[in-house]
Amino acid sequence: MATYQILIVEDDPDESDRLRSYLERYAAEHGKDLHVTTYDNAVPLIESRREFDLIFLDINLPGISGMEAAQLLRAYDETTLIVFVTDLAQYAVKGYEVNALDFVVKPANYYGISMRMDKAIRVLRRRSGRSVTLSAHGGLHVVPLAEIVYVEVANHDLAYHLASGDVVRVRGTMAAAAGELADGPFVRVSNSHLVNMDHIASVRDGAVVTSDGGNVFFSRARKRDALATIASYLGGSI
Amino acid sequence: MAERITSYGLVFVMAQLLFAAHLFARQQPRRDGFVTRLWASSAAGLAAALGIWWVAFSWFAPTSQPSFAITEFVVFCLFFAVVVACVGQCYATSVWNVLFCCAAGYTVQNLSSGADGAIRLVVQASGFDANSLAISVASIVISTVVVYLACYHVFVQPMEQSGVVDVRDRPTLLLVAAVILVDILFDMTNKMLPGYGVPLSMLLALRTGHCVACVLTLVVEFEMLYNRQLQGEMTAFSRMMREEEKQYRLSKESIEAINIKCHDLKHQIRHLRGYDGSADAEALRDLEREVGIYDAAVKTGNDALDVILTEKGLLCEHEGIDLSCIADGSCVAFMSPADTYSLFGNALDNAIEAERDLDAPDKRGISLNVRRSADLALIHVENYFSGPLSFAGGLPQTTKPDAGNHGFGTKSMQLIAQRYGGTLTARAQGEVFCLDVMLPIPKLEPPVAR
Repeated sequence: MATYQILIVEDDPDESDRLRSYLERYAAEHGKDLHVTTYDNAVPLIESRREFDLIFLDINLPGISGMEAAQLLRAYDETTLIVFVTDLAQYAVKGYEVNALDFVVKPANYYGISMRMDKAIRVLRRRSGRSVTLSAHGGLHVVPLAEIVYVEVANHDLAYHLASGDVVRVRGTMAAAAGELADGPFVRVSNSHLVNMDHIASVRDGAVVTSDGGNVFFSRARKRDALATIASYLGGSI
Repeated sequence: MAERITSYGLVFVMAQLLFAAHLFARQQPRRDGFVTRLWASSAAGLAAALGIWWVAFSWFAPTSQPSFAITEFVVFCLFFAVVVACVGQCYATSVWNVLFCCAAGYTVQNLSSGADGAIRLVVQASGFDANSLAISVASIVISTVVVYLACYHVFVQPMEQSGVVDVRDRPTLLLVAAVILVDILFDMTNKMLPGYGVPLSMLLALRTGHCVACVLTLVVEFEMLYNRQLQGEMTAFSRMMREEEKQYRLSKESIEAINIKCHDLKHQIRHLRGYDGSADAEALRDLEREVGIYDAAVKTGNDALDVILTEKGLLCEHEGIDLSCIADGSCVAFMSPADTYSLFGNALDNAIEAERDLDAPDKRGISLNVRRSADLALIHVENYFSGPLSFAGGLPQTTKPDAGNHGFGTKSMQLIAQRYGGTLTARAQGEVFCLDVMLPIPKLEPPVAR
C-alpha cells in the first residue's frame, strides 16, 4: 500500500490538531497509509526541502505567508500538491498561480477535508513512475510511461512516440499495448491511436493536439467517450 | 357476406376506445370528482354506443352493401365524437389535448381491430370457423391485449417521460384526424373484401397495409409531440438566456454599489479607530470583518466570472454552504460575458441545489477550480450529493418527476460548451459529484470586453 507524506503548515494549534485528527479518520475510513507532519510556520518547509506528497498550507502565517511560501516552493518543485486552508477566500482565489489543487475554508470540517483528500489521492496515484519494456527491432528499451506521448499502429508494428522526439517501433497489437498501459493515463482516441493524457496540449477540430505539436484524430465511434475521459482526467475527477 | 355487427361487439369497441383514449390522457390535469366523472362518462359512452347501434343496425338496418358500409362509417365517426365528449368531461385541459389523446387512442383501437381481422383471416383460411364464439373472443382478447401493451410501451411511456402532453400544432392534428378517418375506411374495406372472394394473400397484404398506416399515424402524433417538446425547449432556453443576461447586469450593478458602500464603511471604521481608546477596538474589528464579507468581491481577473462567483458566493453564504474557488479568470476570457455567467451560474446552481437538502451540514461545501493547462481551459466543480443519481451520455439525469421541465441547466451548459468546441462531462465519485468542462483556448484571443 502506498504511503503518502502529508505536511500541515498551520500556526493555530487547535486547527492543526483538528486537521490531523481528520486525516487520521480519513486514513482509517479509506484504508490509506498517511504519514502526517506539522509545522507551525512556513520557514522549515522552504529551508529543509524535505519532500512531501501533499501540503495543507495556511495562508495567514507568522513570518512568511503561505502564499509566498508556495511561490518559493514552486520555484524548485512543480509537483507537490498544495491545498490552502484559510478564511481569506479572496487570496486563495489566486491559488492557480501556484498551481494549488484546492483550498478549504476555515474552520475545516471532516467532509471538506475528505473531498480534497479523495481528489489529491486520485492525482497522486497517477505518479506511479512505472516503465514499460519495449522490445524493439534494435534492442530493448525501458521507457517510463510519462515519456510516451502517444502510441500508434504502423503496419504490423506499433510506434511509440516519445517526448524526446524518438520513435520506438515494436512488434505488437494495439489491443495488447492498451492492456499493458491500462493503469496509465492513456486514452484510446481511435482504433489505431492511444494518447497519454498528460501530454495533451489541447483538443480541437476532432483531434487531440499533443505536447509535441502533433494532431491525433478521434474516430467517430470513440470520440465521445474519449472526450469524456480526457475532460474527467484533466479535471481531476478520475 | 358483411360482418354482422352485434350490439355487444359495438359496445366492446366503445370500451376499447375509451380505455385507449384514457391511457394517453392519464397525465392530464384532472377535473374535480374525477373518479365519479370517469365512471359516469364511461357508462354514458357505453350507453351511447348501444343507442347508436340500435339506431343504425336495428332501426335503420341497412341491408345493401354500400349503405351498410356508409352506416358503419358514420357510426365510427359518431363514436369518435362520443369518446371526445367522455374524455373531455374527465380532464381539465384544452380541447386540442383531448383531441390528441382521443386520436391516438382511436388509432390504437384501430390497430387492434386490424390485428383481430388478420387473425380471423388466418384462422378461417386454416379451416376453422372464425365466427365461432370461442375463436371470436380469443381473437379479440389476444389482439387487444397484445396491441395495447405494445402501444403502451412504445408510445405512452416515452410520451409520459417527456412531460405532460400539450399540443399546439393544430394543423398537424387536423391532418392526423383526416388520416384516422382514412384508417377507418381502410379497416372497413378490409372487412368487406372477404365477401367478394378476394384471395387470402391479398387480404393479408391489405391488412398489413392497414396496420402500417395505423402505426405511422401514431408515430406522426408522437413526433408532433416531440417537435413541440424541442420547440418548447428552445423557447425555454432563449427565455433563460435573456433572464440570465438581465440578471447579470443587475448583479453587476448591485455588486458595484455594494463595493462602493463597503469602501466608504471601511474608511469610516478606520477613521473611528483613529480615535484613541474611545471606540471599542474589538467591536470595530468585528464590524470590519462583517463589512469584509460583503466586500468579498471575488477577483479572478475576469469581470463576468467575478460577478457570477460573487453572486453565488453570497447565495452560498446565505445557505450555509462553503464555496471555495480557485479561478484563473483570464483562461476563460474568450467566452462572452453572458456565456460565462450562464455556464458558471448553472454549474453552481446545480451544486447548491444538490447540497441544499443534505442532512449533514458539514457536507455543504462546493469546490470550484478554473485553471489553464497548455491550451485548454479546465473547469471543475465538486460537491456532495445524496440519493440515486443516474448518468446518460456523461450528463446527470434529473431526479425531478416532470423531466420535461427540468434539466435545462445542464443541457444549457452542454450547449455552451459545445459552442466553444469543448466538452462537458460529469461523474460521481462516491458521495461527491464531479463536473468537468474542457474548453480549447482559441489561438487568437478576441479583445476582452471589460
